[in-house]
Amino acid sequence: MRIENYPEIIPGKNPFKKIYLAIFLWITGRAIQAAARTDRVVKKEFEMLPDDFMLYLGVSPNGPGFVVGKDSNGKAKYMGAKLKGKSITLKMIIKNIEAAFLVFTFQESTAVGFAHDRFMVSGNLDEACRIGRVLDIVEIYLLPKIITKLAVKRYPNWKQMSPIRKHVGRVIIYTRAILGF
Amino acid sequence: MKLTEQFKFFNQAKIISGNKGLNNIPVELDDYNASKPLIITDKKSVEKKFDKIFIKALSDSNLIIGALYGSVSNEAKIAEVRELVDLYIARGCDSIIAIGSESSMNTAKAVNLMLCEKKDFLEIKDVNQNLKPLIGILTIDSRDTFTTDIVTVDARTLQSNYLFPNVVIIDPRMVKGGSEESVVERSLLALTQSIEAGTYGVNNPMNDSYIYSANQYIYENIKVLSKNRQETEAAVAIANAVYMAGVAFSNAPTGIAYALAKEIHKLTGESIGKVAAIILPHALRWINGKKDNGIKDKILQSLIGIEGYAKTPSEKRSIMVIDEIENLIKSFPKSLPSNLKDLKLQRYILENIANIIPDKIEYKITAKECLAIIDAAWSSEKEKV
Repeated sequence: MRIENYPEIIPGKNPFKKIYLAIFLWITGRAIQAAARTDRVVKKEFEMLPDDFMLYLGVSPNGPGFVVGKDSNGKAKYMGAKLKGKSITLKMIIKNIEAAFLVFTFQESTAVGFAHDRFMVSGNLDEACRIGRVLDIVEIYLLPKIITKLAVKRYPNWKQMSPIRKHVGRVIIYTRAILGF
Repeated sequence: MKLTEQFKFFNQAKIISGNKGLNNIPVELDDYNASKPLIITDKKSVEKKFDKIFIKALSDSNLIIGALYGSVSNEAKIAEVRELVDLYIARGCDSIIAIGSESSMNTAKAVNLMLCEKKDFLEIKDVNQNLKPLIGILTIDSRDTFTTDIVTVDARTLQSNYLFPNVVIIDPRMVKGGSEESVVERSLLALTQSIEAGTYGVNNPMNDSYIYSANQYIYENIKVLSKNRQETEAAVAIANAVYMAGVAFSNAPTGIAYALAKEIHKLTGESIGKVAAIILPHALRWINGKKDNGIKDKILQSLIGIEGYAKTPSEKRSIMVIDEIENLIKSFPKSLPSNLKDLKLQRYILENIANIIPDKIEYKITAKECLAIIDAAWSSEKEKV
């Protein structure tokens, strides 16, 4: 056997999926900040989190991802895409880019993604469940019903979220997410 | 439910089964602090482009493939193993991934043993240490000892708990396709391993759970998959059954049908799956007449379901198992002959095999009884052996 006939192989890259995920996670991160300042349920969920709370939601091994934490006033704040220099209290990592693509293109709902062992969570499980609920609400605001139904476990009925609250909230959250306040 | 007084069960493999299963490999290797695997696969897998699917699944990971060796022969060979040890060292690899056939896995296990024991494979007598991380990827060619604790190289066999792969991956992309014959062969070999694992030796409740699940998966999916080899659910179910049968087989004494089939395969090259399936009902008919062992009632339940099981009187359940297996075999006339005679085997070879089997298995059987089982399978006569 000639060893040089069996060279090292470096697996390729998938830039399209990475770019899609980077954009999706950027919007979601900023939308969490906006939703926590607009929607009372999300606001309450954030109030229940500890003062030093800082979440990283990203894709293994090299991202993309986002960091959302509480600022000095105790309000939710999008803190960028990079982990460096941040003391993360809750890490939610999707095991690979394909799994992230399945979840964030809604081929699999977040709950099914968890059941299929696509996530690694390090931190307080109670906080992770809280963030799961926040993500569901943010998706309801960001996406049309036909898509959101694929992403969340149960789509809220009129009593749980009135159309007025949903549509007005959607406009405000989109505006805040784009403008970043 | 009565608990057996004493039993043992061991399985170290973590199983990852389902959509995009292959993409989990970087994270799994990371758990072992490994990032540079040596990939060992066979020519058939390369022809089917399984190596390409595998490399693509590792996109955007931090893994570097130390080397991809895709020329493993039909049987693992010591010369090849030695060369792969050199390749592993030269490339600075830290783990091994076997894709495809049993020979790929045997080669991978032997390389792993030589690296850890720092001896030639032929000098290793037993294994008493954890080996390097080994991942097995099941494909349509994986069968027999792929997921077991056994390694065979050049007719030398070793068995140890340390030889189980650490992780087994079942991904739909790797288990769909192939011919009807291949589906029937690997499914019925798994069924033989599984049913025999529950028939000889002491009652083992842990092993039984693997056995019943494997039987159920095979019985429910073999006909679907043999008709449509692209049926994802059935393909994944059969691959899971192959895995579970392998684990059950590792935790039980070797059965007679399997031992005969293995020996016939070794001496004639005939498919082990076909031979095992033909012999199985006859071996079961023989064991069913024994006082200390017999076919368990629950095997019938795993084959035909609770309703059929409840309808069958208890004294007829073991005979019903044999009838069900015979009917199952008959449903694949294109892929599986009904007797050994139609496989065009040399009769004298079978007689020689009957003489050596009693020394190769734990269960007490005479050469005469082995020959009687072979005789019954030769022309598939239904009389009691």
